[in-house]
Amino acid sequence: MSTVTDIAIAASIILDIIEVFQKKGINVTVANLEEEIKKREKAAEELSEALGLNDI
Amino acid sequence: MERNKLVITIIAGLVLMFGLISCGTMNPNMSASQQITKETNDPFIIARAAYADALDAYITAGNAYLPHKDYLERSNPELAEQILNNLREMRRILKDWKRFTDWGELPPSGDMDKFHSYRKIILQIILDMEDK
Repeated sequence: MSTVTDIAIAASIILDIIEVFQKKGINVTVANLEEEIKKREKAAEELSEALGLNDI
Repeated sequence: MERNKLVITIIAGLVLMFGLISCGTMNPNMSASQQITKETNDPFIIARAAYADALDAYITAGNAYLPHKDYLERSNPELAEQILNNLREMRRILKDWKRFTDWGELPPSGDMDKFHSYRKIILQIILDMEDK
């Protein structure tokens, strides 16, 4: 039973690691470049708003 | 019980394979321009990728300052204003940067240099604050 539990825990840890890498590593390609720019523009606008910089 | 072990081992193996494949195809530490120049040498697309990197630089600087904003505005309003002015300038240059890349060009190199200087100054101020 302990082996089964260990394997289940290991699988869960691996899934967590994959999730972290997927969040951190963004593949930018010619195909998704414009979409990635739009995402960044939106994030930059939201950030500017949070910083109180939407005055220009 | 043995069958359960086998099934879980197979699932764990598949998850590991998927993870290695996913991580191997990603470029977590590469800028958009670095990734794009591997794919194309089209100057219009490379200029757009450089704009994506500039947006990343602005987001990094702004996000680094955001958690300190309230404290710094109370404790050192002049420094807080200096950081905000730098962020304002970065934002102004970004707006021009977008216009230039819409025409397939890069902004003047002086503006790009200033943009990166502002980012460095902001991050340095924040690092100094965190060290204290």
